[in-house]
Parts: sequence; C-alpha cells; structure tokens
Amino acid sequence: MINLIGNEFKKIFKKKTIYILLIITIGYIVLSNIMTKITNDYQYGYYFYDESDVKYYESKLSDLDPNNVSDLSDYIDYKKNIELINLAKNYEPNSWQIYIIDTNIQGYLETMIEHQYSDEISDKAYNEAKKSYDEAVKKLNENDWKFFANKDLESVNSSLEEQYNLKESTKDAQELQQINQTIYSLEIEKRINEWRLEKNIDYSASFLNNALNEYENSMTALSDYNTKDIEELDSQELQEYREYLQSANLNKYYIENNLSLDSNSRSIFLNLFGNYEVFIILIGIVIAGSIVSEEFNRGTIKLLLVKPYNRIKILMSKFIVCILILLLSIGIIYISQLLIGGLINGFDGLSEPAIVYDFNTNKVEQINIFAYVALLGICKLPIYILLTTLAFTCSTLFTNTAISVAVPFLGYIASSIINQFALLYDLKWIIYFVTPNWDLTCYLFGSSPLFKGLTAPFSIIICVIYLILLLVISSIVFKKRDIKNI
Amino acid sequence: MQDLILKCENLHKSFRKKEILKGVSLEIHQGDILGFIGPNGAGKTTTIKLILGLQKIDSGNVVINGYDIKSNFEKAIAKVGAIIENPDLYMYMSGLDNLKLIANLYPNVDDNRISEVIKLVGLENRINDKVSKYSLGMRQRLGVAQAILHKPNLLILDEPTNGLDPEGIKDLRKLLIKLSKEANMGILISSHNLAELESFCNKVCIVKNGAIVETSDLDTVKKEASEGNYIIELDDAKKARIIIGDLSNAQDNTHLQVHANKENIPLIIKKLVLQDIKIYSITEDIISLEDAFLKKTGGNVID
Repeated sequence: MINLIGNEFKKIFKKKTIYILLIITIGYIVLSNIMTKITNDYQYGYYFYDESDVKYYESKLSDLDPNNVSDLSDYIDYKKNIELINLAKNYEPNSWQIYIIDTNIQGYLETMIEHQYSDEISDKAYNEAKKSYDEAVKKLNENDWKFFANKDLESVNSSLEEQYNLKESTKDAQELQQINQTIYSLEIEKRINEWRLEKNIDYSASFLNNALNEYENSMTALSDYNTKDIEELDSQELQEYREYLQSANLNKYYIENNLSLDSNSRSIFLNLFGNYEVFIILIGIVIAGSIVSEEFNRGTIKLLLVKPYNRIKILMSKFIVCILILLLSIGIIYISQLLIGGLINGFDGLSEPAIVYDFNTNKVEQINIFAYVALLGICKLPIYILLTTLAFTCSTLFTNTAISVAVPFLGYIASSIINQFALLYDLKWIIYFVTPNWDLTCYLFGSSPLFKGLTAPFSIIICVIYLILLLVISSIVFKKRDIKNI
Repeated sequence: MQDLILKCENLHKSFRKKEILKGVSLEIHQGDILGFIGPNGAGKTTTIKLILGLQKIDSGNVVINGYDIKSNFEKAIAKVGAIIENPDLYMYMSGLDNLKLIANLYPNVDDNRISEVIKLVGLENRINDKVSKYSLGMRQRLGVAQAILHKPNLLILDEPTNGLDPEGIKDLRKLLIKLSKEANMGILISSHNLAELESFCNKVCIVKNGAIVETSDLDTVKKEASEGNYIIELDDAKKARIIIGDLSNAQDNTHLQVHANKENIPLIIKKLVLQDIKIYSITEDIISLEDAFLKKTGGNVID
C-alpha cells in the first residue's frame, strides 16, 4: 500500500495543478502582506484633511449667500472645513493633534464662525470659544497632549461629583437607575483618562490609543448586560456578550502591560486561518475532487485496477494522499506567511506571545504564538478534512471533477448561512448536522459554541461519524462499480 | 497438454435488461496465442473486462493460474498483463515515468527490467518524452511494455493493432510469438482485423452476440470453413456447370467452383471427362480467416 501511496504522490506532483494552486496561494499571501503594509497607516486612522479640498469648498462658498437663511448652515460648514484644513496641514496625518482638531477645535471654530453670521451666538460665548481655541492651538504647537487629557479628566471628575450628589438626594428608583448608569459611563471615562496619563498614551492613531477606545466601547456595551441574567440570554446575545467581555479584558491587558502589538506580520499570522482558509480548502478539494474522477476520465483507472491490489486499498491510498496533501498545504501556508510576512512587514512582532482571554478562569493568558496558531489549525482541521472527504466521495460517485469541486465549495460557502438559518428558526436537530460541529475553535479557552448543548466531544464524534459515512459510501460505490467503456 | 493458465466457464453478463454475454467459455494454455474474434458489439471487450475483474461477473467463473478472480483477486491478477481498449497512460508523464509507476506496484521489477522492456518494444529513443507527444503507435508499444513489465504468464491485449503501421504490426507479431514461446506466456488477443491475427494465432475463438460460436485450432477453423469447396480449372466452365448442376458455380470461363463431398470429386471428374471437357487442375479452396470468420458469424450483424 505504501507503493500505491507513493505512486499517487508522483502522479499529483507530475501534474501542473498543485503547482498552480500553490503559486496562486503564495501570490495571494505576498499580495495581502504588501496591501497591509501599504494600508497600515490607516489601520486606526483619523480623517484625512486634504489641502486640495480647499478649492472645492471655496467654489461652493462663492455660490452661497450667508445672509440667506437656507444657505447659512452649509456656508458655516464649508467655512469651518477650510479653517480646519488650514490648521491640520501643520501636523502629521494621524497625529494626536488631528484628533484634537477633529473633536475639540471643530466645536470652538463652529461657534466662532457662527457668531460672525448669526445673532444666536452671544459675544460672551464667542469670547469663550475664541479663548479656548487660541489656547488649544497653542497647546497643539507645544505638543502638549496631556493638557487635553487633564482637561477631560477634570470635566469627568466634576460631572461625577455632580452625579454622586444627585444620587444622594434622589429617592425615585427609576431616576436612581438612570443616575447609576451615567455614573458607570463616567467611571469608565475617568479610568480611560487616568490610564492615558499614567501610561503616557497620546491621542495619535496607535494600537494603544485604539485599545483605550475599544475598552471604552466594550465596557459601555457590557453595561447593557448588568441588569440581565446571563443564564437566560439566547445563543446570539450570549455570543455578543462574550465578545464584549473578551474585548474589554484583552484591551485592558494591553493597556495595563503597555503592549503595543501593532505588527502587521503578527496580526496576519494570528489570523492565518481566517485569511487563507479558502486556499487551504481549494487545494484540498481540487486534489480530492480530481484524484478518482480523473483516472476515469483519462481511462487510466483500468490500468490501475488490474494491478494486484484490491480496490479498497487503491481507494484508501488515494484518500490518504489527499489528506497528506491537505496537511502539506496547511504547512506550506503556515511557513510562507511567517517568511513572507516577516520579510515584508518585519519579524519583530512574532516574538511576542499570543494573548487570549480564557472564559473558564476569567483570566488573560499568554501562549507561544506559533503553538497558538498551530492549535487554531488543529481545531479547524475537521472543516478541511470533511470538505476534502466530501470532494473525494463526490469524485468516486460522479467521476466528474467539476461537480466534485463545486459541491464541497458551495457547501463551505453555505455552511455559515445554514447555521444562521438554524439559529433564526431555532432548529434543534441542527446539532446533529455537520456545520455547527466542525469548527472546534469555538471550544477553545472556554468559548461557547454557536448552539446551546454542544460540547467538544460531541462535536468530534459527529465529525467522525460524517467522515466514516462519506468513506463508506465511496468505498461501496468504488468496490461495486463496473468499469464501462471509456 | 501444457499448463492451463486461464479458464473461463460459462460467463454471463447483463447490463440492465440486455444480456451482453450468454455463456462464454474459453481456455488458454501456456504458449497459446488465442485470437478472440468477433464483430463489434459481440462482447469481446466485456469478456476481457470480466476476466480482469473490471466488471462484476453475473454468473460463471474466471480462474487464472488456479485462483478465482472473484474470491482471490490479488493473486489471480498478479501474473496478468493487459491493455484494455486504448493504451491509456498518464499523458502528462514521460514514458519512463509511466513504466516506473507500474514497476512500483510489482515486487520484482527493477530498473534493468524496465530498460530491457523498453528495448524490447523499441522505444529507447523516445522514452523520456511525455506520452502526450507520442503517436498512437508509440502509445501502443508503451502499452505493451507496461503490460509485460512484470513478466506475466497471461497477456491480454484488446485490439492491440489499432493505430499501428504495418511495420509496427510486424514487430508486435514477432514480439508476441517470442513471448509465447520463450516466456511460455498465454496470450489472449482480440481483434476484428483478422488478416493480422491469421499470421500468428494458433487458436481462434469466434464470438458472436455474446456467445462463442467456435473454438479450435486456427487450421481446423479454416479447414472446416472451406470443407467441400474445390476449384476446377478447365476449358469450358459454362458447359461444365450445365453438366454438374446446382452445386457448381462458374467463376469465369476457365474456373469452376464446386461444392461437394470429397468422395464425390472422382465422380464429378469422371462426368466431365466423359463429356470431353479438359481438366487442367483441381485445388481445394482453403479460404482466409476473414472468410471463415464471415461464414461463421454470418456477417457483421449485431442483435
């Protein structure tokens, strides 16, 4: 049987198919690494103030009359934008200054310009805005972002004090709940600002600044669940809840440990199977979908079947080769991304461990990054193996390569839709189907599966049953098949 | 009697409701070259596929070298080499790679044997070219090479002369005779190109509409088919025909074909001589295999 397996390998590696598939895959890996490098600047990017837009706004302004009420708001808007662009051109895109211009200064400017054309803004308000504006621009130039952070912190603290006082004087339960909610949000904001100052994280678009924002968003979202019983959430709500919980904990960990994990090669590598899964599946099903049918189509099956090996041995060696090629392609993609990603985006991010949140222990843990990605791959293997086997079975059943490649590929595309559909209509029997069971990553680190009642051993058993079923069907068909005239 | 290599007994095979084989039996001994002859659709290829285990046998037995193909496939097929229909090979590989693939599947084939076989079929110069660049004739040669690589004692060739030029057919004929004599092989060779088989088969098996019409030595078939046919060379065929009557047939002015028993020939001669007809020669009309074949099968009619 070793000889049969060896022969199947030789046949595959003498054909162009596998090389074309691998070249396409590696080409895609190179391309996506280059694309990430190019678009890196905009990963957490801010609005880009483009100088060439000034002309556009000026032309718009010439068409508008500030004395006309209906034109006024547009007029002020364009005027403001020109001012903002003129201010922003002094600073780097995505710098902390741009964020301040985007948020604080925008407001001051609007008040100032509005005062010029409208009576609604009092002189006092204008003077205040003007003062703040001048001060802010001064701080921008002095590169003093802490001024803004301290100001934010001050205002949060005073708001908090206000709310606590309010809380003491309120008796009404509903109002009290409202106040508690507000206090919760303010406390988060306070923590963010304190962290910012303590950890020296400025407002420029960066990994840690993003982590602060993500933390804030996740914690705010989690506040909705404070009043709910976690046990009673439905699958989808639970999934969302867990995502927020994970995001909050991970971002908190990044901030507290000052981990700036913004290496591109690292992020692509960590999401290796998300990025390149389709290629792994493509290689698996193209090889498996043609390995039997091609012998029939070329007539070489007759050559093979008059050799002193029984048909089951011949079929099983073909299957083993398919699985080995699948594993080989995963290995090649794993190594290619490490090398190509490293060469294009640098190897430095790969020295940091992978950081995961464990739902069982409610702790953030560090795992060796290579082991972590390999673990993800192992948990994804049922998908790849079952789709490859499906292609293989179709290949023996229909002896038609096109069908054998198309069916599993469509199955792969449809699988998430099937799961969503089952979730929507609450189909209980779906847990005996293969699609909710074949992705074992949902059991890693205490995560919960999409459907309630599923466990890792159950899923593995279901996958094995489907695998055996597919193999038995193809064996029976292949064993009994009469070789007709070809 | 030499050793029995292949024995087929009463093979039946139906596809859906159509009965393709209605009890085919044949035997091949060491040194035999059996011509398996029949019109298109008679069941030649189906019989071969049953023998090789490529199709399931409805009823009947195939025993090769003492092993039943149904119950002991691996042992039965171990010493069989075959080309079925076309010499289907892996077109994207070189001839040598194809042979190496086959060699891997048998225990006793080494590189020396491969080059020996390449020389035997005369492919030395093109063996490293891809098979897709081969002519049909060259593919046939490579097909023969892969079939004899593991020194089988039963060689089954389905229409091996397809696409071979006269030179190639001559080579194949020489090769097969050599194999049957020196390697003590039994060879089953199917064809409808009878003229080619005639020159080197020692047995024929005529199949028609899924049943064996005739199995015997080649000479016997020819003899039987030609029994009672004599050509008489004489001076006036027309006159002679009137004298002899219905059993005769004037071929031209000087040749008369007579269908009669051997014992009656002297009587016919006597009659003719008495009527003053000059007789120059009498020959027994030994017809070609092709004619014998047409006679046995009653023409190329498929049920």
